[in-house]
Order: sequence, then structure tokens, then C-alpha cells
Amino acid sequence: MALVPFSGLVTAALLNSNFDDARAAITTQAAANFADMVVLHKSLLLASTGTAVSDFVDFSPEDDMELRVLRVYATDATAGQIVTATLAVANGDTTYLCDQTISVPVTTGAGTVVQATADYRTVTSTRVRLLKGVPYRLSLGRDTGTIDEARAMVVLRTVRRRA
Amino acid sequence: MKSVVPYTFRTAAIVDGETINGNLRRQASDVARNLDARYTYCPPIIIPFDGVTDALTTQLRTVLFNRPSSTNPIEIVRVEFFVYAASGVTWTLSANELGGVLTPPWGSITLATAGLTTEAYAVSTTVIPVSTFGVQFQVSGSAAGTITRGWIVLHCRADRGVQGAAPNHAGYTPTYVDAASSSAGSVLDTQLTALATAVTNDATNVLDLRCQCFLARNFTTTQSWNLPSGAGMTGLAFNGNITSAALTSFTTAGTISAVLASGSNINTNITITGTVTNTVDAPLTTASDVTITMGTVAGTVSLGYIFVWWS
Repeated sequence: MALVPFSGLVTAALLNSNFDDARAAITTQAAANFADMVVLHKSLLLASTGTAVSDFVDFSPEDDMELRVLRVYATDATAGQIVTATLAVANGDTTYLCDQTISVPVTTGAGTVVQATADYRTVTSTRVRLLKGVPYRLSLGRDTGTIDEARAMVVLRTVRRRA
Repeated sequence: MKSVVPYTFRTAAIVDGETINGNLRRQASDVARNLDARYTYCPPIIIPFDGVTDALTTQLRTVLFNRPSSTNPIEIVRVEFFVYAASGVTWTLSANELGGVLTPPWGSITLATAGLTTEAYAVSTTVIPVSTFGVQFQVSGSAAGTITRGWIVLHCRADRGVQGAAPNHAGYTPTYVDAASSSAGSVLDTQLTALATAVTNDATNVLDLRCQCFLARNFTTTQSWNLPSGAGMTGLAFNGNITSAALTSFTTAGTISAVLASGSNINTNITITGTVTNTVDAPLTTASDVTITMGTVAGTVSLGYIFVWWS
């Protein structure tokens, strides 16, 4: 805020500019009200470790968040393996995600990093909201064999300023 | 949120005190509303404890969580603890300040393992203010056991009203103009200067903080992760740690500053710090994703991890 001090004479124009300037600064500050968040998970997806406990993380958001992007990365020496990143409710209650299946698969290339993205930002597509306190599960799965490395990434949008 | 439009003054009209006071009141209310919405929340920060056994040295069962700088105070408002492991062991998650105890103290949380495919869960909602020393989280088992799969989730919030160093946000309480004001310009200057200070503090305290943890154990080759630049990352800082029995090292790379971390003492937690730089673009533009790397590994690194902070 750039206050212009009065020099003895109080003019209407200066009063207006000072109050308007303050209002503009306050409005700008109040408008910065969202931010994109990221939740990540990395797994080796070893066949011996099984899928039940080896390939997911659970978390319950501290605040409501909207799903923006789900992305999967995979690296393996063998081409043609399918790795899938999935976001679900940890206790299986799909009501919280409106029965939507939130997942994205990618097919490995031999020795190269491949990636795939599910984009939920488009206005006309399904909007998915993660609710405060509900346990969600970000998991990585594969069809067969082992995967050298897999990574899942979720981008979420939340309200920036909270009381 | 929209701010209240101030009353407009007209040239050649009488400037009355109540109109001025009305504007001061409105803008004080707007400042207070911004200050009320002062907290911003980090995303869930997931710290893995896979493979940790009760017999590991204390350092290998400990993770030091620290804020990026003294001007970025944060609080941990909730801690979740998940373990999958063979039943029969009670695991405890405790926290302390590096080199001391937490103030106020944080009671540890415990859970009893219930099998490899059954989740054991515990949570604490006791708030932990993170000091400049950082907070150490440590797991310990009541008997011989291994955490097959386990992690803690930290939920943090930043306070835009308090950034650690001046200017902190004290709000704005105007003193109103009255008819006895002998020098209108001077009185108004005082009030508007106070308003400007409050508004400037509000604008200065804009930093919200987001954080993620990258952790690996017993690695001999490069470890890397990706963050989407389109998540609004503008770059801030990272804290890294290494713990190893023999002389080992790794070098951070990717989009974070190249910093060498090396150590040869299993009981020493070596801290490295640096900065993050990035170009923000859409989340689907992967070309400028932030790549975090622990690479150029010498020997076997028993435990290496990096917390990346951005705003």
C-alpha cells in the first residue's frame, strides 16, 4: 500500500485515493485463496511383497481438497508391463468419491521412464472432492511380475486461507 | 472475499468526521477478516518407516522434520501413525525437539500391530510448534519386530499472521477522528499510516508453505522423485539428512541445489540445506517438473531423506 500523506490540506481526491489503495491491497490479499497440493507415493512393487500392504499410503486431509491431477510414473527393464495408480477411500466406502474410479494406467517401456496422467481440471469433466477427515488411499499396482520403480502423484487444490 | 467499498468524498463538499471514521471502520473490518483467515495448510506429508526394526540404532528409527527458515514458523496440528506388521508388538511414536524437549510436551502415541494385512492406526491432534531446532520423530518397538510397511503423516499449518520476524500482523484498531481534532491532516495521517502498516503486514505475510518428504533406506544407486511444477511451486528450500555406518555420501541434484551429504557415523544425523528453483507451469506440462535426486552415491546410504518446501 502506497499511502500519500496529507500536507496540512485534506483533499477529497487524496482521501479517496488512500482509502481505495488500502481496499485494493486488502482485496488482493483476500483473493489469494487457493493452492495446489501434492501427495506422493513411491514403490518398488516387488512381487514377493504382495499388493495388500506393499504399495499404498493412506492419509486423511486436514481440509477439503479438489482433485486436479493423478499421475503415474513407471520404470522397468521389461516392456509391456502395466502399472496403475489409484486413488480410493481407504475403508472402501466409495460414496465419498461418488462411486468414481480414480485411476490411471501406464505401460512400461524397456528401461525408460514412462508416465501417464488423468486430468480432472477440465470444467466439463467429473469433479472429485476429497473431504476433510476421510481416509483416502493412494496406491500403485501392477499386472504381473515386478516393476523396478513406480511413482504416483496427486495434485489437489485447497482453499488457501482458513480461520 | 470482497472488501467493503469505502465512502467516496467529493471535491467542494464538506469532509465530515463520521464519513472518514466509517471508512476506517470498514477497512479495519476487512483487515480483521483477512487476519481471521490466517492459517494455510500443507498437504499431508508422508514419511515412510518401511523395514524399520526395533534393533536399529536410534538414528535409523528417527526422522528430523524442520521448517525451511526461522521466518517460516509452522505448527504440526495432527500426526497419523500407520503400521502393518506381524502382531504382538507395540510400537511407539515419540517426538522431541532436536537437542531438547518439546514445549509444550507432546505425548507419544502407541499402537499394537495386528498382522501383515491389518492396519494398525493411531493419531494425535496435539499441536506441535516447530522450533528452529526441528522436531524428531522416532519409532520404537516393545519387543523384537519389523515394521513391514509403515508411515507417519504430518499435517502442518502456516500462520500468515506470524512469520517469525517483523512484520508480524497485529491487526488494525483505528482511533477515530472527532471535531476536536486541531489538525485534520496530521490526525488522518496517523490513522492512515496505521492502516497502511496493517495492510502491508497482511500482504507481506503471504507465504503459505507446502512440503513433501523423500526418503530412502539402504540405497546404493540414484534415487529420484518428481513434483509437478504446476502445483504452484516457486521454490523455497530443502533440508536433507544422511545416516550411515560407514563413510557414505550422496549428492542432491535435479532441480534442487547440488549439495554433498556425507557421513561415517551411524549415530550422527547430518543435515544439509539448500534452495529449490523452478519455473511454474501447468500441472500437465511435465517438462519442468521438479526432479529431486539423491545420487552419486558412495557406499550404502543407510538412511537418506529430503524435505522440500515451496510456496
